[in-house]
Amino acid sequence: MSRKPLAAVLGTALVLLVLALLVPGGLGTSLRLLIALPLVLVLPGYAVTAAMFPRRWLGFPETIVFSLGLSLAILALAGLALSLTPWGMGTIPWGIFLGIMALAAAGVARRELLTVARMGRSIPVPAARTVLPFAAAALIVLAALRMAVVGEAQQPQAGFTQLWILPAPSDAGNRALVRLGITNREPVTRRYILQLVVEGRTIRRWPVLSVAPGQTWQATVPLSSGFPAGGKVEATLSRATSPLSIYRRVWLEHDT
Amino acid sequence: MSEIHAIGQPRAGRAAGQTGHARGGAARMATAVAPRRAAPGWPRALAIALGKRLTARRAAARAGAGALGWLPTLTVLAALGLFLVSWAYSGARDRPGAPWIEPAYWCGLLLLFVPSAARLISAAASRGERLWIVSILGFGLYLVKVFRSPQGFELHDEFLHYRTADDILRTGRLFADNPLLPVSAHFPGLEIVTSALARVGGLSIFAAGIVVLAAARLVLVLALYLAYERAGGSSRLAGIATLLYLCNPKLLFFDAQFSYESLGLPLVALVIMAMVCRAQSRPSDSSRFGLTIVALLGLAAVIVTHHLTSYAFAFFLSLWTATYYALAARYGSRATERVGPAGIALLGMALTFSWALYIAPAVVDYLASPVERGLRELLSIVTGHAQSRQLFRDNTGKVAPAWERIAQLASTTLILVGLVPGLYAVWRRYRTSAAAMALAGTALLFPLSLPLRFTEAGAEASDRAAGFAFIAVGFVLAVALDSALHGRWAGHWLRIALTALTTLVFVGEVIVGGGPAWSRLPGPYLVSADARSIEPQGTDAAAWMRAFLGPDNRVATDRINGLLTGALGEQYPIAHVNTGIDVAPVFFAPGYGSVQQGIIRQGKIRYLLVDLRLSTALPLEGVYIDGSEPEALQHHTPIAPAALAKFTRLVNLSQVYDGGAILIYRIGVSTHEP
Repeated sequence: MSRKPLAAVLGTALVLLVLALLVPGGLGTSLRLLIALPLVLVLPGYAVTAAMFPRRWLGFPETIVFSLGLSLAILALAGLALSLTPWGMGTIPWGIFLGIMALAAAGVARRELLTVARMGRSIPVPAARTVLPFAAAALIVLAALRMAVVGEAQQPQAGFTQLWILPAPSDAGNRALVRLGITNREPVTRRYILQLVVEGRTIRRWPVLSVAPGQTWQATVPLSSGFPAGGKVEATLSRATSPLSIYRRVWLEHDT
Repeated sequence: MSEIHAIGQPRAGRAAGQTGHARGGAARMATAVAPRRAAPGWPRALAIALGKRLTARRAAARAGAGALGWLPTLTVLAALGLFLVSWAYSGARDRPGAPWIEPAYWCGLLLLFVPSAARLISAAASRGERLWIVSILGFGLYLVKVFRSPQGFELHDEFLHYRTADDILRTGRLFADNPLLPVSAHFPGLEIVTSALARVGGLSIFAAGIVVLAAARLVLVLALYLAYERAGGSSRLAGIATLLYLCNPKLLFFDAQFSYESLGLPLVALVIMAMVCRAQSRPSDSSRFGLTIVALLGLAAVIVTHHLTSYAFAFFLSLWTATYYALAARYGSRATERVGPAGIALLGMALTFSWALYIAPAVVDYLASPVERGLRELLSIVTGHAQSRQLFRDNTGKVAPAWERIAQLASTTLILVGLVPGLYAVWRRYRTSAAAMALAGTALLFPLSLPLRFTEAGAEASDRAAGFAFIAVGFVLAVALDSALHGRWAGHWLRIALTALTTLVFVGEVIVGGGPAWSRLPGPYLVSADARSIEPQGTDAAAWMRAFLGPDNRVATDRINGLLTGALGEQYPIAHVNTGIDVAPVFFAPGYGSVQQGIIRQGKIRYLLVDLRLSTALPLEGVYIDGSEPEALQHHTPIAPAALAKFTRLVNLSQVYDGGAILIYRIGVSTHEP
């Protein structure tokens, strides 16, 4: 690749990066990632490599190692420097730094480091006729990845339900409030019975709460008589199928 | 035979594989020379398998890529190996204990390793083919770890570093207090790079970490190959040395996880490569300045990335410098290297120790204390005052199967035995090269660290040394193998035998590094078993704490939930490592008295997270809470259920969360008052 096309490619990448960073939803996630990968993992190292080494000195493997390895090293050190600035390591400071590195890469790429011819001299590149086995291998690896992802997602796990209670800030009438919540992490929709008890007296009962898998039910309940001094507010949860058996229990003590 | 030589320079001695020297120096990086014998190519291999007779010429013509040799076939075999491994993982999740799972797992690993090993040991492969093979093998072994948990981190250390990366992303600043591993925040290289990619690419920490480590793995294998090639003067030797490095026990999981060493070692490989090239460059070479810059940038990055790697590398640089001056005094201009590493070594050591003194002073105690305890324990064992650690047993006393014990012993024995002719061959072939001699000296770290494996305190230190020591061990063993392949017994059967022995080393070291069978494969929840203890009840409880309690609440809990609440829950789990407070008595005591109250008060603990499942089994990692607990690493009975249930009876304690197995208690404000 000659200098001008390389500069054009890097310039375009820079514009796209700015778009990606500054315009909310300016670029799709995949496109943003495609641009980010070379900007973060290749161009900083490539810029230094291109600036430091004489024409035709490096082979393709060496260029790959230096570009990737130096990018990792430069980013680790740049992060130290950015953290000392008032802006820290936010998206914009990183974008500016990587943009400068991309421009530097374009500016100093005075040699033909990545031409196909040079690649061919130092490392064999698969010919069109040999693409089939590599494509087959890629498909097999993708299938293996898919199997791993599905296997992990569908691993049999014990279902469970979360019940919680937390104090909430008092309302306008200065009444004490508590927050209650139920999350169903079981594979099917569950029907629950929830009771709120203060000092042994049921102040609220939800006869049937139907919660779908992965869903959360929440409520904020005022304690009309205030929080009992030295006492506790208790919530018990039963399954609708066995209402007499307490399935989950939480409570709040006054001091806590 | 394939070889390299310096372009524009007179070649030194005989063919590179025979002399191994690259004494002529090099104005340019290594350039390939075509192999003498054309490789058969994948169509022929396939045709032979199908029983058809194709001539070598026709097969090569069909392949259309003589320089690629067996690469297409090896790539397909490696992919099939990965598929088998993934199938075994799925089986281990769905049907734990099924008899086909372990064989499928090992068949997958062997399909990945053995064909590549055979080809790298053979003389027929070209330099380019070897480069592709080590890249595919190195990356394939990385995918073995990725496929185990493709949707989130699950290894112990990954959560420690997740917290540092999360802090950087949340605050945009470095050196925040990491309660899980305080020293991690002071070596943030990996987390900086990960957070940069996460920010710019819009990725999660997990996805960005996976990508960064993939790039790091590629740098590791390629840089090592190129460094070995330069130091040994032979692409075949370089391929074998890289293959042997990939056998190291830490490579498959430990050095593939989201942890600082996984980036530290690739950066070290990059610096070694640059420095070996620099050492052989002429003063007039315009590349020398560039190589110096690469070495310095890489070295600085190693220092901010990983403590142990930077100290081990400082040791290696010192050894290299001393060797360089000794060889210069003895051989003068006949010494292989034209420039010494002294300047870079001095600067590197100054930066390394300055960083430790001024940025991360806690690291001295963090690293010195286990080594010191290990050495004391070793002394006690030698003098008969203590019993040695029982090898091949897990923390519950279960003994490894016989074949695993044999493989581990055989592997370690083969490495130790191989080092002897290897060191001799290095002396015979490379005694004018300071880099090669320094690698030979560093290889001795491996046998020297082995006695620590007999101690409880030093076993991990010995284990950790392998990641670095194998850079040198791989080179020395490869020189031994390369010498044998050029010796009087050279031939087909020797190549087969060496492939078999290398495979045995690989299998043995995978078992050494992977631990017992339950820790190598995924599966149902197990008590205190690190990756096998990570499941939705724990992760959801941690996520609930972050969402409903806010960050940085001080929590007392067990080892596993401490990881989850500290990393995913952004809480502050109190432990000896961050405050010097041991919370184990809070959980182990049958009652709740003044000792427990004192710990709560001293640690300003606001929440207790109790996992009732702990009382159902012995801890597979040896501890429920941490190393300070009663009978740590020697539990004979599980923690008492009553000890965990006692909190429900206490006053001044609210049970604010009930997830079935996991309960969270909120501690009353008055408890913290004296």
